[in-house]
Amino acid sequence: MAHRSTHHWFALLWAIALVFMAVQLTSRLSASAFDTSILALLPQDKRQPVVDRALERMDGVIANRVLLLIGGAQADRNQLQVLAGEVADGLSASGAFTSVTTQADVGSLSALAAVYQPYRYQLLTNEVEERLAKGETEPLVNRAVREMVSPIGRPRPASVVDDPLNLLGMWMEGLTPATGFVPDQHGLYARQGNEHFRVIRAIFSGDPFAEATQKPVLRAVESAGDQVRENDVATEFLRSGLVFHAAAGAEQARSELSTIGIGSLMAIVLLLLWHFRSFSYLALPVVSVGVGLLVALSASLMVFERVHLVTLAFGASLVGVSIDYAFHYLCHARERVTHGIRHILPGITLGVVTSCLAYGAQALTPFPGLQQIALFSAAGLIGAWLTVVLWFPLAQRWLGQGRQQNRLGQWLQGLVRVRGVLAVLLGVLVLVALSGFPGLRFNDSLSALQSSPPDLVAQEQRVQALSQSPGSARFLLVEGASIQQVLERAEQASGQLDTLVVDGRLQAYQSVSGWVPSIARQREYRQLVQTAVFDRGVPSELFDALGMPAELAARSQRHFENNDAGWLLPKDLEDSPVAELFDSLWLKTGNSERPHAALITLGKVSSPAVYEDLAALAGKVGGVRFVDRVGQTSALLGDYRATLSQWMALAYGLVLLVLIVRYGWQCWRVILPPALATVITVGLLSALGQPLNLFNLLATLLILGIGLDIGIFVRESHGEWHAWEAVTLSAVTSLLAFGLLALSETPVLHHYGMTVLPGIALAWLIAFVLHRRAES
Amino acid sequence: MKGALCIGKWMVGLSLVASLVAPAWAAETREAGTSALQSLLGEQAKVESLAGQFDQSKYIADLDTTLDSSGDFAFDADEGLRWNIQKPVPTQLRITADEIVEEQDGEVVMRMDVDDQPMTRAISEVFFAIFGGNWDKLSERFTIRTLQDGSPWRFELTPKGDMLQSHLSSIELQGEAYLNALILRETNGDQTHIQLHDVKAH
Repeated sequence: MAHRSTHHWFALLWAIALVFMAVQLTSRLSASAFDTSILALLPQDKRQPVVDRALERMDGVIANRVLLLIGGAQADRNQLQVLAGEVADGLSASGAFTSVTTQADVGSLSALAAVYQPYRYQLLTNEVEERLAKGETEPLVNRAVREMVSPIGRPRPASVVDDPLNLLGMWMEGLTPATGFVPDQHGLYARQGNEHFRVIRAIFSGDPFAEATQKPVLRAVESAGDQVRENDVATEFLRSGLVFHAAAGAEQARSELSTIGIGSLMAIVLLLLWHFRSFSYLALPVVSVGVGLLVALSASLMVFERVHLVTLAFGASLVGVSIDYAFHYLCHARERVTHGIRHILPGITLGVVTSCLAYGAQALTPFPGLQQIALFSAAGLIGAWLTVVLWFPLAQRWLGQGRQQNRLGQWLQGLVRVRGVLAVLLGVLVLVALSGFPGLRFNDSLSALQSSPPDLVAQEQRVQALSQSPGSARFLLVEGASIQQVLERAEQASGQLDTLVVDGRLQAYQSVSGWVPSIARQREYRQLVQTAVFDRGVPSELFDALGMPAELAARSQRHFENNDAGWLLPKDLEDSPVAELFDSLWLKTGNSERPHAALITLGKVSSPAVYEDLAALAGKVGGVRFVDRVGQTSALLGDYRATLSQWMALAYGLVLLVLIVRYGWQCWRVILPPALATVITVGLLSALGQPLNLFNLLATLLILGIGLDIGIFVRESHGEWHAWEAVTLSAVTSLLAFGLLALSETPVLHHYGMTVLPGIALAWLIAFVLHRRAES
Repeated sequence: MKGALCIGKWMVGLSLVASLVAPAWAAETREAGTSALQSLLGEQAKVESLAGQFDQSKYIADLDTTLDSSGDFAFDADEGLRWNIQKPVPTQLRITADEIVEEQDGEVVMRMDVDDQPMTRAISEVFFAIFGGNWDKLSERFTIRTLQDGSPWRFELTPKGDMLQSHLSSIELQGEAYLNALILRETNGDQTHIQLHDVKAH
């Protein structure tokens, strides 16, 4: 009795612990607790904190921005512009956005000109610099004369005396941002062939991943879409923004997880009703699985704060694994009059230990996704195991006792008679798998794992093409010990980028040095202006040509000599109209120890080969590196696929050690089903022509976990039919659950399901063929 | 920013528009009042070509000095306007319904497409609208006031939009049978006086 009461106390303690976990889970649970971005699965690259900062900055710029494009025929331009105005008004009125703009800022240019004006003798465009360096001043004089008398001359930010050749006018014109969006008097627009697009930029506040942020933004954009569709002139409505992908990802995850969860539960319910014909037998597995999930989610959010979609997918798969313990108990309890769990305890304990070892090994990798999965699954398994061990024996009185009609057992016994056929089938599968191995391919490209709806991705690509805007995935990062060094290095890189632009391989780029030349370069330019313009009497030539008094040339000379503006520095632009743009390119440092850094954003490239040129370019200039987030991510996925293969070997090794202790040389009977099933599955996938990636490998860990349970339970119960019933029930349940995963639209889940599906079926089949043969 | 850069161009471009508008309705200026102008312009659709000489004198307030230029111009309803500056440097400017092209020494130094440059479109549009007799187009952008009724007459155009207002104070048009002169006053005190002579219409 003492033993019984101790058990009661532990069961109560477990209940209290669960209540605590449930309470703390509700406080942490929100939409923002779930990551959908594939990038969140990658390790923080500890060696490159400045790269992380740059990536954060790039993300920050786009995270809270929405771009809406209203397209129609070029001929309907005016109506489109009116419609864009109305749509923008509607968006503003919705209250979802902090700002909605269609307008170009009218006063910005003159304000910017005022900032540059004092430095007009030391700001030169490439073209002017080349001409001055060659002493070709005549074309410059002619141009200045023409502009003075032509009705449509280039604007002059400084007077003809202050800046005879209008160097500042040309500098200002060269600042035109690298974007395909062009402003007219009504705002921004883009053009493609005979199509005209009006651009609306809207900024919202709050976390784009939070449902509370997404809802009003999506609703406002939805009604804007309706407004556009009602209009006959508009033929297209394009949306671009992180928030749309975040919302689509969350929606997809929600719907698919509920499909998988419900599908899995339905399968369990039907199987249990069919097998046990009792509702009380049905309730217990649901309880153990539910508790497992609660513990898994609670523990994961406690440790990681945010959990990824992939981790949750594993959570759904836990429904399949932890139910092993419940089935094992129930199948046993139905046949035995004896209370208690003692008889099956070694089996399910060995099961939980080996599974936790197999998954726990992943916690040691530096991969955040793997760590989350390791913790989630281990916590879930332990939670379910504790529930079975502590609570199930207490529920014995509600379970019907005595042997009943057992269809599954009969069916299994019938299957023994055809085990020869099964063995042949297995042999055929092995042969097919072997034929697949020569064609084994790996595809680690990130695009293969893109999970946003194709329609949204297409819109995004369209908008990017129209805006010719720099994507945030690839850029150059310039570091230096001082601000001036950063500018100098950016100038060196710009020189190289210019050749790519001239060759038509790079559409455009945007660098801080394009707004503020380094002091060294400003000094160079001023010297050039002195020798090539003022020392050679170019102003006299100009005023002479214009027929204006010669005295003006002398005045011009005096103005130049008296100009002592000092050097233009990045901080001078901080209050200018371009401050926002400039700020997005400049990575400010909080303390002096961190290096100064700036970004050079890149426009469209003519072909992917240009990325190699950019990487080579970055290698040539000190302190400059090419950050290719897409390429880097694919490379990392590949690296971790390779790493995971090694960790798999370690997992098998650890499990084997435990099994040797327990079973000695007979352990091969337990380890062979999952091991062989994994090898055949990989071969089958290759034979089907499917390239493998990290997530296929991840799934093979699950094959190990479930495969081991099959081997261990059967072995521990000496091949008794109740154990076979239990493992068969769990294998079938898992197959149904993962059958749904293979149907998922999310590529990661799809690959996962496609691997687990044949893997588990094979593990069961191998164990069945092997074990019965050993007994007979 | 590009748009803002174009404001200056547009503004000065409008002076051209005005200079061509003027001779048109000057011919029938005896019917006074703005509503009457509309009917005058209606007649304008019949004018197929105009040509003449011009002398331009630009006073630069900043330098307290003037800059002189001269040349000839020709308008054809189908081909658009040619504005040829002969002194101080030969420069040819061509405004058509599709583009504005500037040439120096036979070389194209600037070309602005109407579709890519809305400001260019505005210049071209207003210009052609007037010759097509569409007075509404001009009154969309300017308030029109009669300074002196009769012969000689004077009218003043003041811009309506903020963007134009920040650069341009007014355009004054003077004439008798045809437009004789137009005076462009900028907000910075600069003033451009364009005198037309030997104007022939067909």
